[in-house]
Amino acid sequence: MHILVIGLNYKTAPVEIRERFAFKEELKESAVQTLKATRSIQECVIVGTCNRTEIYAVVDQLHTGRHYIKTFLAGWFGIAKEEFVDSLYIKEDDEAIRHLFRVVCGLDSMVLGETQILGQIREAFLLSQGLKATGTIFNTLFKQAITLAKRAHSETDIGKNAVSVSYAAIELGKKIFGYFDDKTVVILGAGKMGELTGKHLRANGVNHVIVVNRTFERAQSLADKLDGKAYVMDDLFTALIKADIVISSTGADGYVVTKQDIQSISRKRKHRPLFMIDIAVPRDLDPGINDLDNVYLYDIDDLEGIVEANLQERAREAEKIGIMIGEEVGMFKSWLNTLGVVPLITALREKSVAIQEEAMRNIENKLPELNEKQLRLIRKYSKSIVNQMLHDPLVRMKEMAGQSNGEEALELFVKIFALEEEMKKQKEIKERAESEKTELRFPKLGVSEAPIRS
Amino acid sequence: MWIQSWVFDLTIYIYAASVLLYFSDFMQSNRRVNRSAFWLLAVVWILQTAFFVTQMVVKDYFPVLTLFETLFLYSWIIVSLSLIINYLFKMHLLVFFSNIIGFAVMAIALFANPNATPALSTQLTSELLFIHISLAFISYGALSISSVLSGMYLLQNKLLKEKKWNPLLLKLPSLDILELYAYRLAMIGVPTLLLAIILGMIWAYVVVKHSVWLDPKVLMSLVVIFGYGTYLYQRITASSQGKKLARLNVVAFTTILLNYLVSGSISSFHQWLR
Repeated sequence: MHILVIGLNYKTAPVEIRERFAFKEELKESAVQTLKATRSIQECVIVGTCNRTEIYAVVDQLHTGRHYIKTFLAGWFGIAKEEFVDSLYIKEDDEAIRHLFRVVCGLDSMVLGETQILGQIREAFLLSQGLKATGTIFNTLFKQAITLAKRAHSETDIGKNAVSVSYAAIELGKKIFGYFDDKTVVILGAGKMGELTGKHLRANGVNHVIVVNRTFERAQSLADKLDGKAYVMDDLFTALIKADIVISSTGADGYVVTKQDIQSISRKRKHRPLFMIDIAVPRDLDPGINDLDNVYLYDIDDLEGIVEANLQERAREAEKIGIMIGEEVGMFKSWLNTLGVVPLITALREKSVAIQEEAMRNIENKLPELNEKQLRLIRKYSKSIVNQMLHDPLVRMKEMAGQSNGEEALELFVKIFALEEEMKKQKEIKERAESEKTELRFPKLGVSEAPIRS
Repeated sequence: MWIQSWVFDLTIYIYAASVLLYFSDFMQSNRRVNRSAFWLLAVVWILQTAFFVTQMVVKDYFPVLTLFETLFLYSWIIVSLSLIINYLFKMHLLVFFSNIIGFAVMAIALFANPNATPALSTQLTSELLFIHISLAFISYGALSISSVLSGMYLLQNKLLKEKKWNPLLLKLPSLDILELYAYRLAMIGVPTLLLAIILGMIWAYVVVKHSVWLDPKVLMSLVVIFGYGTYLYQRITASSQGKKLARLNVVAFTTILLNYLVSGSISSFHQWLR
């Protein structure tokens, strides 16, 4: 049993390739069912977003798993394998678990630490779970991954800060005003950037917008979009007196607002804090304005500096999450190893019970004079000997299975107690039961190739 | 008595642990550490309250008459206010900064004699005096937190002006919020202080029997009231805002500290605070 991830994302494939591998929403169910019915696949989850297409699978053997997943991708999208194999990445076992944890925490995303992917992976998992395409391993792994991502976002500041210029401006505004409900925004110039920041501010609660432009018509047009008022340049001072936030993006050559201008209206503004954002190049607002008390002036470079600082902060927080992921991978592996112990315990118990039963039959044959009470007593104590003898090996087996070399330890136990036959029998019983279940599960698919699990 | 001493020492240790955890959260954001710090602070409050009540029972008076008792009361008020603020507004940084003051006060109390007897005879103590002192320390508590908020305002203003976008800036509440709560706490602290002074004056007229107007403590108290009066007037009339107002609040608070530490020691009738 192995865990496998095969996929492509924005790092390995350009959008021209990614768009050809996008699972259509309405066909996702069918894709999961087809994949689940594919040879070698025991459990599967398909994650499809605009930046990545990934198949997570539990497979019986790595090489067959890889082969059949690639064949599935080629068949489903109708693209020859040779065309896309170079864009694929393949991660196995520990690396696959680590990859899932990184993806779900947003560490593998284009915008580091974004949370949208958490919802997308959750949906993908629930879809597979609903279709019974997941089992013991993925049910535990994906639940652990989702819990980890929630913890990572709540215990670190990875998703806290803005990573775009417009949002950085909003964040700065919030540092000054807290809320924008009763604040007035003045947009100088009816350009695209001013409009975008104005829209963000409106979405964040600003109710009063004034657009100031040389031509009244353009000012009116933007003001209509933002549900605000339009002023011409002659009314600039009236607008500035009302303003709490000023966004300037005119195409003027010189400064549109100088330090003296702001000084002269400071009294009329009752010294209220003023946040000024200059996104024009060349700049519209005199840099000397920032020297005035209660006035905060930020130009485009300052805002980009904030974005950069936030990205660095996210990278620092990502390191913390990396440590969490390391711990979680270890925990999952321990659990996974103990999973292998269950059939071994059953096999050992069955063998010991068989030996004890055999011994009881021999006693009954050789000592026919024993009455029922005596036989019951012998049965009871012989069972007790077997149980006591098995107790310590079973405890040790569980302990060792959780360690890094758990698989080797389990193999050793199989050899020591000569359980090969019992293990084989158990495997056959399990396979029979699963294949019967699968045939019942997909009666309408008409998949000619019956799922074979070795 | 040894149990009281033991409780006081334990409180100091737990308080230190809480402040250290808040410091750790301040340096490297960690919500779990922050939560632990908060619960330790809650334990500190319980122990302080228990200690205060025990003192009241053992000494058979409201324990606010000696230096140790007043420092202890002041520390208790700061812990109480910071717990309320943390519960209502989740300003973790304010709790941290306030409790640096609270812990320092408690540590200073460690050096004062907890068993000192009040210098005033029982004939000179009255309900009026207890109310005067209690109100004064309630106002000190409110004005301390107010000045911490103004200090945070000045710090944030500096960071914003210098465009230093760092984790510290991200942890600070907005300027508007800091300014608003500093003002509200001053609005609670100033009238309370004024009331405390008026009651103190009445007590002095009744008990001290000589003019107290030229006493340094009284004169300095008038300076404190003038400082805070100016702050409130400028805030209400909007003749000044933001940085200037915050600076004025911090300056006014330093006059309180001077009044308590310096004027108190040279006052002719505040000598009972020892």
